[in-house]
Amino acid sequence: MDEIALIHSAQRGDLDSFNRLVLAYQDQLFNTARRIMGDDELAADATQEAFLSAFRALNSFRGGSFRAWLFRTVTNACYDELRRKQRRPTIPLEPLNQNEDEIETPGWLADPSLSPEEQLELTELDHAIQHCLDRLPVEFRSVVILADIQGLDYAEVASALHTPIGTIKSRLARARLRLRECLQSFRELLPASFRLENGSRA
Amino acid sequence: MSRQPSFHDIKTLSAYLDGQLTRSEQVRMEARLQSDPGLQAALEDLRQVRALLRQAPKRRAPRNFTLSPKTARVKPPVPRLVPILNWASVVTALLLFCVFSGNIFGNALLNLGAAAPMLTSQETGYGGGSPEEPPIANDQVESMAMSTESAVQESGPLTAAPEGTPIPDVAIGRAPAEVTQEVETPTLEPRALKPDDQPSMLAIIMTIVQAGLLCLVVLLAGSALLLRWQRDRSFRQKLRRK
Repeated sequence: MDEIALIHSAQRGDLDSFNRLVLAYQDQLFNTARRIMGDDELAADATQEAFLSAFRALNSFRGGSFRAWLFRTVTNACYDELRRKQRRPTIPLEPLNQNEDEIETPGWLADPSLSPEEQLELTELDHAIQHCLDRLPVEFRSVVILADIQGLDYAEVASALHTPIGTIKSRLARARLRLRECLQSFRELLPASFRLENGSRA
Repeated sequence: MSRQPSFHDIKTLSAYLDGQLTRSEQVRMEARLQSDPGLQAALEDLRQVRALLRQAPKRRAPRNFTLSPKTARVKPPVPRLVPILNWASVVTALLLFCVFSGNIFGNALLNLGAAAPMLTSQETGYGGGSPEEPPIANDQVESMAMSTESAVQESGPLTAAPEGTPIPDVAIGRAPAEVTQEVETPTLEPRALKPDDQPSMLAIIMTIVQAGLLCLVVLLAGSALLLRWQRDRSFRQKLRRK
């Protein structure tokens, strides 16, 4: 069944169809939430909340990019969660397992046959990117995550964030500039393959 | 030429990198890029950042986020079968507003012709009383009297519809006035008794229109409720079968 048929079926109340959409999009939504929140547990909560509110509001989807519509629910859930977090600031900074130990090798989506060195490189890169994203204001962070990490086009980002395209362009440029400066400071720490070259502005 | 690009230039470069410029903007930017190493370097910076972000590691979701009927709270999405029914409460409220405002304005309209006699009755009847309230009470009493009056004259069947309505009678038409203004409103009597005060056809048409609107309100609310109930029931049955 294609996506449109699944959406129509879910709009008529078919939970199975909706759950098939959930399975198709849950990695993308979770990764977006994780980048916005900077925390796996909070991201998982926001993702669950996003799918629940998406199901309840499904009939307000009137066509267009379903992916952008879903990203809107997850960014809204993240904003809500961040507001709550601001009121009660208690966040674990590293992903912890049940024994409260830091998880050494998170479940990367990439090829599972990665060597330990490659996994380490990915972890370094992941930390550097997250560190720099966390330093951006959340409105800029969401734009750059949706456009550059999730690969949405400008119209989809504008729709997902309910913001005019002109503002998206401006925020994306500003966010890229700031990330450039921040990531430069990781130049020596990052694996050679991920290093930013010294540009004119470095 | 290699001065630091302005933020406006950076914004245009960033959109250029994503292929989001119009054809003419793109041509202009390419011409500038050829002659400005500063712009070239800035474009390269943006390109590198974007490439790095595109390589940002992605994780699998830590669990499945599928919904169970319990978490979805077995509440079906609002049916879109008949779009107007989604607005049933709004339409119902509007129609009710029409009925009541029609009632008030219609009666005011009907009373226009009687303005002159009313003035005289106020002058004679309410000389020492409160200046505002008595005329309003007078209006209401008068309109009640007239509607019952016209009903009894022209449309027998319509008077049977409203339950609890007293049998229209000239004397009963005056009854509320006697309750509220028993002592002070002797001048009401001749007014309420005047049979040819207003064109009674208008009153009948208004009554019919109002009755029609009320029927529409009841029908609409009833069908919206019925449809909602049926959708809820079929949704629950579907969930039970799973």
